[in-house]
Amino acid sequence: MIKLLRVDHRLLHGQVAFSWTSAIGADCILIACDAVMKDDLRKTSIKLAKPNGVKLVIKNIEDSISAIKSGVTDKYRLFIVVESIQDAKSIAEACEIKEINLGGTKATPETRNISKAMNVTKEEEQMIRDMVKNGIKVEIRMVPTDKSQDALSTL
Amino acid sequence: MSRVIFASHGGLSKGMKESVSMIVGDLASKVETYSLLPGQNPEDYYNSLKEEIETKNEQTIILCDIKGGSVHTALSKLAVLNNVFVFSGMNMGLALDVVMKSADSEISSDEILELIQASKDGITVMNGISNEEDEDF
Repeated sequence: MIKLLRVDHRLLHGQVAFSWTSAIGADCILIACDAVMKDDLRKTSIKLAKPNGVKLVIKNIEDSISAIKSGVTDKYRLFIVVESIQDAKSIAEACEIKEINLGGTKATPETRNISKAMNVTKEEEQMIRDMVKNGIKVEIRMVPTDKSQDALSTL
Repeated sequence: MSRVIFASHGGLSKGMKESVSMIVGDLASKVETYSLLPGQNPEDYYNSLKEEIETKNEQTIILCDIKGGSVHTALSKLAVLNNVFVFSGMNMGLALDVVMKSADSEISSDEILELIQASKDGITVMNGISNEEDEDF
């Protein structure tokens, strides 16, 4: 069962690892990211953030989608973290996930700020609109105790 | 929900609350802090806390900064009261666990022991890249 699909450019860190895992009762975290698979140092640091008693799996996007589709993840209360809206969209569409949580994306010269921690490019803005049009609920929420904000309303 | 107090020499307790809030948000808003400042006597705080705890029937969890320090020595005497737990060696992992686990209900004695272990497990050192094997589903 997929409990949460979250976009966070820092992937797994204190805030995500502690508060979200316990709030949604996840027993397995999937870090779906192409870049991390090629970066041993980043992978090592992500493993440090793993909360006790939770399984942590790191895969690229393609392998993540295959794993979810194969049913091998069904027995877990799965918490998926990706680093970009594009990655979340790919997984949500391929695996028919109906809800996405936006946690944080970095500010760059190409992005505009839509909430305290979310910065989106024009293309990402369009992706959010497209996903909402296709029936996916997109919320902005940093930590579980924050109020959920409808992403569309911030665009 | 339990009463949670961070107690330290100087500003550590206030800083700890601020840091914990960064991760758990409003969940930490009810955490109380005590900072022992030069010239103050922790016995005064002990006496006022003792009176409060005795009149209220709620679980009280106190995290002190260092074992055997004057804050811990004074406040550890509260442990004889009903449903009071006094920790030493407060670190961020322990502080987070206590705040999260005490938010909805009281913490059981078994859970208290688990908290100590988890907090100790949080102390690690790294040197180079870990050789730990990757997990799969």
